[in-house]
Amino acid sequence: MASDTSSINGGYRVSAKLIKDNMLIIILLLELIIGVILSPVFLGKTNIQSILINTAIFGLLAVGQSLVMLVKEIDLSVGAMMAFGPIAAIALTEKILSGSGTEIIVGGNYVVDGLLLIVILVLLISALIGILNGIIRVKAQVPSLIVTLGMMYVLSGMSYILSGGYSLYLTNLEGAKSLGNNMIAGIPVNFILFLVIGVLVILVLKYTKVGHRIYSTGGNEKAAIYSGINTNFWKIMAFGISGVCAGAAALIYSSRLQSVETIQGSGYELISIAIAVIGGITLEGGRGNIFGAIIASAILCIMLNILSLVGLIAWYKTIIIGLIIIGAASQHAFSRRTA
Amino acid sequence: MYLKNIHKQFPGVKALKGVDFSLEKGKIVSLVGTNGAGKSTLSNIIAGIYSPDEGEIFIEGKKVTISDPKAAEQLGVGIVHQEPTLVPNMTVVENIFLNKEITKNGIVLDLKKMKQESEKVLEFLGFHINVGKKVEELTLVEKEVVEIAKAMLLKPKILILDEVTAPLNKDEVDHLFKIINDLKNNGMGIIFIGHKLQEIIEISDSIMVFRDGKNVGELVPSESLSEKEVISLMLGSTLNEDLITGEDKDDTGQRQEVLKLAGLSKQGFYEDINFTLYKGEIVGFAGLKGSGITELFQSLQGILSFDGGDMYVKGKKVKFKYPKDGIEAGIGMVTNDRQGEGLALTLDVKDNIAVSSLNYLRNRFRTLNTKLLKDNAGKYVKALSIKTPSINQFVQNLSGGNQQKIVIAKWLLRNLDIILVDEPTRGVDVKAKNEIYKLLINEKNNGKSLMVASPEIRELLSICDRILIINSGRIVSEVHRNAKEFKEEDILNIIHSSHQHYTTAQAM
Repeated sequence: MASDTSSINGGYRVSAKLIKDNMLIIILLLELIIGVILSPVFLGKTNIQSILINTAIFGLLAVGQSLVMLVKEIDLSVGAMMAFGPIAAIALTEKILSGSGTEIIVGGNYVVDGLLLIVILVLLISALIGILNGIIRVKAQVPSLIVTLGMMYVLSGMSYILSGGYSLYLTNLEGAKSLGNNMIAGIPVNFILFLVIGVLVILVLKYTKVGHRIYSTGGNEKAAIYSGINTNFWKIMAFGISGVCAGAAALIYSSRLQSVETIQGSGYELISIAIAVIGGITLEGGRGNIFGAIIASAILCIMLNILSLVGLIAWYKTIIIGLIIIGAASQHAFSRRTA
Repeated sequence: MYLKNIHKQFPGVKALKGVDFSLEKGKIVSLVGTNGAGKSTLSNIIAGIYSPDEGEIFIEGKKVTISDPKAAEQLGVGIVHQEPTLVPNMTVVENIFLNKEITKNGIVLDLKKMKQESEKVLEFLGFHINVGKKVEELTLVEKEVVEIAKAMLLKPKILILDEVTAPLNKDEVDHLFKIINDLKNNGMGIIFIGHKLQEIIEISDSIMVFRDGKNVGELVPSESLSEKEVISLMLGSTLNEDLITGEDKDDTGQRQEVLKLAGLSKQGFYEDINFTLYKGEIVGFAGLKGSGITELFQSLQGILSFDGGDMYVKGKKVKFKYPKDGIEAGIGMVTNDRQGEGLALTLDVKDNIAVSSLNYLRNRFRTLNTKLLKDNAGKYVKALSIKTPSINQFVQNLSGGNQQKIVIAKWLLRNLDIILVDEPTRGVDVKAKNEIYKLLINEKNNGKSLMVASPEIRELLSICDRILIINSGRIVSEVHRNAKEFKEEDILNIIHSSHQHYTTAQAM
């Protein structure tokens, strides 16, 4: 019936819907325009590259977090995992390789060898911790907020014990800086990697059974169980993938700074939740999509960048992030009710 | 299909006590019984959602174990559940094919084929629904149709329909019955569960009656089979008469009016409720699930707002904004969700009893008078014979019956004039039931006014002075204790006659 009455009014309604559906992209474009107006450096090559690298790190965390939130859970341990993953991987690599006589740490805290093994172990350890989060969640029936909060504390404590609180330097490790700093045609490799992972996740959710499993687990768990879906398995999977994403983010972060800090990633768990929420993922589960989360991570990184360029002190940034989270969540909830 | 000697126990209840059941190809067997009689448990066992504690299941002569819903599907069992099993944020296709997706090469979903197939199923059911729409955007009827389509997708040999007609109107039911008959003629065996007996007599080849977890008889529908016969088999012959203590008070002119509702309405829940409650009476409210009684009670206490009509408490016009307003006006509600809404499970007995009366339990420093609190809690524990090791016991460790008494004690301590009780004895054993009845009658004799809602008509017959029957949010009948219709059969008859508005013979 609406199509029969396509008057001016109808046209207005269509464009309003168009704006509502593409709100995130519109905000992103607006930000770009504001950035160009406010700062001459904004469009500079290094500035753009720095935005893209940050987007890759936060975006990876947000993709993992979004999957967890889609199955109606939450993962507070990803920030702590970003420190623990590399620290534990290096410690383990040292243990493994010292048997064969290879020294991988010299001068107390300079990592010099074992890159490949470290990379593999970072991803493996992060995945296993994620899976452990999931298993505790479904087997002990403890809310994931609690499980992953506890895991966050355990991991930070272990990071301190393993590292003694000292930074590990990667400056003398051959190849260690490539992931964080190398460019292909001026675009950071890590950003390309992030896009590949992001697109892959989007495609898998849209075009394979996995998407139906994830969305139904979070959207109506009982319906999923009645349809014979093993919802516990998919929850564990989501936590596992979130772990892998945290591991990958840690690799980019450490490679960029060429060091591993005990406190790296702290607070990032909340930023990843913030991005997911801005991207339209809700705490009630089964709602929102990864594309939104990817755009949202760019929105957040560009905003932080602009605020730095105009010289706003850090605390104002936090206030603005807070307001954006509340605003975005209200807007999504509102548009859903009026849909 | 054949089921033999099925037993199933849930914590606290024996849901099925040795049920035999058989279904032939091309037949429709209906399961009827009061709530909790075991109909849904049996169908859930066949659908692989519960596994039986004891007993054997045979399908086409072969003994099978149905370990999960997927196994049931593979054995050719389709089920439409009583509760919604659709994912709101997913599309119709995605819901119909949930966990049954078609893929092109084992990995990539064949969206086109799934779309065609779901359109085909819906078309077969005679409905045109945009399959790309999200389920949350559908109407109630469309959702029900999608539920049926979901069960039909794999062309099951056995189809279980658990209360599918509830949201449908007469034409839609007729349409659905035509489809069900077609399926039956194609050789499908159908298990139909419902509350509307007229429908059941119309559609079934045989009617299996459940009572207290057993099948107590099988009836074959014919011209002469009446709803009454089915109901009397549902209830059994052992009516518990000895508890009846209510009385009819006809001299309404003499009595003090405590609550009056004039055309009270809440869109989507109840409509045009006219009712007067007098001092010292118990009025029962009977109706099916979703008839709007719970919402009406909630409105009277101020939990839910009403959007039409007027409400008077002791002659004074009121409109409550918060539950607190209702309590201050002297109205308290004993909820039907004891654990969710009635109690703080992790607090102890004394705190739960005192929670609504804390303002009256203060000492001269305006802080809580713990001694007074303990004394009062102790008094009610004793008066209501609540079985607890001490008043310091956590409420979650008590049985359902004792928990329920605590919810009631909460309002007694606050000394309210009007007590609304929604399902006074849900999940309560027989002994505690009788104690709760005595308790309610005792309060009535103390001059309190009570409104009691219950799915168990027998319960209402035991304690009420009159019973109002609610159908789809409207009062359709009022039966007084001295009326000849003050019988379970007659009241059930009125409740189960769907879409029929009785002229009310109100004596007010």
